[in-house]
Amino acid sequence: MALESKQLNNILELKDVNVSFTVESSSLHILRDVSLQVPRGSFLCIVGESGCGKSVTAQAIVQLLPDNGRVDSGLISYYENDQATELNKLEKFGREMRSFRGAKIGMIFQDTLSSLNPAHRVGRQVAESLLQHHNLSKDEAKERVIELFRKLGIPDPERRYNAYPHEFSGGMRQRVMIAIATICEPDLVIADEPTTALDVTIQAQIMTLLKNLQKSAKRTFILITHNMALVSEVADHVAVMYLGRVVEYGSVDQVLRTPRHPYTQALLQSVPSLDADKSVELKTVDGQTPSPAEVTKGCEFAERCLFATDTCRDQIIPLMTFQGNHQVRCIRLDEKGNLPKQNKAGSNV
Amino acid sequence: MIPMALAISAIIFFASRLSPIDPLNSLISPDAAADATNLAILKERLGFNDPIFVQYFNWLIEIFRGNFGYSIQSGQPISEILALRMPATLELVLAALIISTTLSLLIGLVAGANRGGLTDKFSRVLAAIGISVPDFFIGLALLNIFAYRVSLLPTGQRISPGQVTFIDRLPHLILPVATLSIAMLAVLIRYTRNSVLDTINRDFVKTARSKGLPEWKVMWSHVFRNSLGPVMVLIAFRLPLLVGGAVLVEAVFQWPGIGKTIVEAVTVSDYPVIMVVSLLIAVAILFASFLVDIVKSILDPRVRLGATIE
Amino acid sequence: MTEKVPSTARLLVRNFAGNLTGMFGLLVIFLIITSAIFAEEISGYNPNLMDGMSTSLSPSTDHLMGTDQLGRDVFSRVLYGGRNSILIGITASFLGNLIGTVLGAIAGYLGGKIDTVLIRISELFMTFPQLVLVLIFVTIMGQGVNNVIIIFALTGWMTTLRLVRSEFLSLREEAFVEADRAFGFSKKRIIFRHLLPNTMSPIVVAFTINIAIYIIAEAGLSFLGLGVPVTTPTWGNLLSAAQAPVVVEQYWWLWVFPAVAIIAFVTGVNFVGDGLRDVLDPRQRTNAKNKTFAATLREKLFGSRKQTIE
Repeated sequence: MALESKQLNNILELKDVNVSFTVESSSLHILRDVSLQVPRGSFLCIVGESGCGKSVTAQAIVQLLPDNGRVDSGLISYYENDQATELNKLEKFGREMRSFRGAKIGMIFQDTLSSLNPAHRVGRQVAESLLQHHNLSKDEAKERVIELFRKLGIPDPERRYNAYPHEFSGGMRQRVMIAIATICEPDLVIADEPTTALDVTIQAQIMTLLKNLQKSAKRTFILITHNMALVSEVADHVAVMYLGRVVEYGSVDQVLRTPRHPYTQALLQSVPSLDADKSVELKTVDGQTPSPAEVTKGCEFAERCLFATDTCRDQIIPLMTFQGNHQVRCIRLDEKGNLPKQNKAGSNV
Repeated sequence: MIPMALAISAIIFFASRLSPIDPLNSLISPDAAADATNLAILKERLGFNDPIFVQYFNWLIEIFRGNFGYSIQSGQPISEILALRMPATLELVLAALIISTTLSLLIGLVAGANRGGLTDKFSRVLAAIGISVPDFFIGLALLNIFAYRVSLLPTGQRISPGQVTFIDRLPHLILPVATLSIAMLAVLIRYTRNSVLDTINRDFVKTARSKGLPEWKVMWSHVFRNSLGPVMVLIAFRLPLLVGGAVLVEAVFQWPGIGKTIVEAVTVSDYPVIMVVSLLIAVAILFASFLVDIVKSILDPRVRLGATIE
Repeated sequence: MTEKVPSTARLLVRNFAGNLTGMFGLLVIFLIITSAIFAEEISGYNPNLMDGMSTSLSPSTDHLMGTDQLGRDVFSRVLYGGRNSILIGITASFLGNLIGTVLGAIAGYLGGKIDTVLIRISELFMTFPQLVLVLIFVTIMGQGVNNVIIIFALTGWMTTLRLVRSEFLSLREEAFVEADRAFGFSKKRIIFRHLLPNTMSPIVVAFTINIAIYIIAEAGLSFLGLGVPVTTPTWGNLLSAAQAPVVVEQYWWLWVFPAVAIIAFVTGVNFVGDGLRDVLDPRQRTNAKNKTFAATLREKLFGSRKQTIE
């Protein structure tokens, strides 16, 4: 299938993806019409509060949702050369889907202690991926793993190859995780909160490592995080999610400098920054995140939004595109993408 | 393990002193015990007038020397009885252990991996049977069906006249081993299945899948291996029950083993035999759980010695 | 607190009434116990009446479960046997749980050396197959209904001890116990008035399930001819007829019906235990859904066992 030039620029596209989970025989709609474009070679951050569906998005891409979750509708397309593959149409554990996992899409998970098999030596866990996708001897695989360990800054890699996960520190374990995700040199790496469990200095090291891995190999990275500070350091594209929907998507400049969606604005105001005026109080986003079980037809953020009107609650909100493919899911914006002057909910303009 | 074995030997020894039977009888042959004066001299010479703790240590030393005493009933040295009966029980218990463990691990893995499937349902039924049906009844039923109604297998005993090789004896083993295995299987399958289910939901399984490994490989080298630890503990925990089951199974099938020995000994209050046999069983079980611990530490490096010190 | 008790109890009863398998189990138990009480009226025969004219009859409308070699009505004997077997099961389970609860409370609350010693002793006991332990006690104490009950209680308290102990260990750190200590309440008062009531749920479940275990144990012991003297009919004694090969081969009704009675009653008890656990122990409920009660119980026991091993 010939592809449009615009698609060629993207390595991955999600179009109106819906995911639901079955919990105690009732169905929870977790992802609603999620659409995303992941430009090739970019560093995309998906941000949002916990429970907004960012991890589920990652799991849906590689079809590793928990047993009770499934993709109901939508398209997840992976572009390679001039070939498009609908990932969600592939059999979950079939040969084709597996040829993507590890080889073309690498995954990095958050909790490294539970994400590494405690009974296997770390070297073997990394080599396993390599042996699966490449026709290598065990010795060759071991060599490659040790080489990567060295590159990733794991000291004494020959000896560490035979160590068990519990013998590593959190930061070292995350490097092993990164090794597992990148040993087959995949074009796309998805990192799900890779630094949340680590302390700040180690966090910085790991983020630098990830950024370098992305730049040096022209790889595409999707980083899932709730940490806005990280986003500004590494991202070049940002998607903001709220309650299972992408509410804003654009380049890092567009989203961080000129946030359009009221939620993004509130989120950014809640981020502390070192050079900010200390007298300015940090803002929190007012109100509670509603549970995914209680669904409104309209904008999920309306209950907490300062700009919300009745139409916001009743109407299906379309994704508006502004200059430079800056997408915002809000009907209160004017043609230039500006919100009305601060006014309380209910008073129409 | 060694302190436990010593404690057990002490309990057995002091318990034996509660019996109405003169402990002297356990050390000498019944012929020699017939003469009263002889008996008094022997009592002094053998140290039965010593304090009880000294007696205990002497008894222990004799045990270590391989002198287990004599059966009151037959006058036979107990070591001879053991040599005759031990292999029969070992054969039975080991065969049942190997068969039930292998089968239950395999079936449990399949049942856990395909939750709600046919194997899973089968394992549920089997578990229900294992809990509410006495083992020896299973034995009786098997005997009635396969030995009497369909004369497919021998009705009992370890060997028929004229049989020599192990292959000859094999048909004799089938029913007792099957009986013993079914009881063990029931619990093990269910437990393995639950352990597999627990493991499948662990994060590292997701990692393994994210590497693009085929499901059988994920199951085999990640899920299964990590499910084994808890199952090993259960096997160690169930060993006494397996031996207890062997006592009943031996009775059903007239299997000439240790279980039958101890039942016969209890029937006639043959104290020395009971003492030695129960000591032996306890030590054997201790040793077996020690072995299981070793296997467990191989499976899970976190419990390995040294790793925990770090 | 005292005001709340009746309403909680009523709530529990209502919850249990909504538990289908639990209620079914209760119905089975009720039916068996009632018919055991009215054994003679229901069967129409005296269980000890020997009728030389009708020996070894297979089941018919006259004798629903046939007659034995002495011409006694098997149906009547199964019902009578139920009286004794159920009595033994309930009493032994009660006593065993009592010992286990008291020792477990002491071990769990006081901790330290006493705890270590009690745990060690329970480990010693658990090393033996329960049947072998029972046999040793039988040799010392002799046979008889009362002795069997006492022996069962003496050999079956270990799991309850571990259960109560681990509950206590966790409860002891909770705020209300801290408050009790701060008030200067005596240890006895804290244990018996405050801690034990909060531990009742697992004890009640263990009590129920142990009844099943002891009934099967009695059957095994009496099958070997070492339990209750043959003059008192119990399900196990009836089964011991099957020690004779001719019975296994030809008079199936002599051992199948008592076994069916055991299986039915034990299944009923297990269902009730299962239901009780669901109602009394909501913590276990969610993850227990897919487990058999035995797996859950064992896991509970295992939890505490693991703690002591590692």
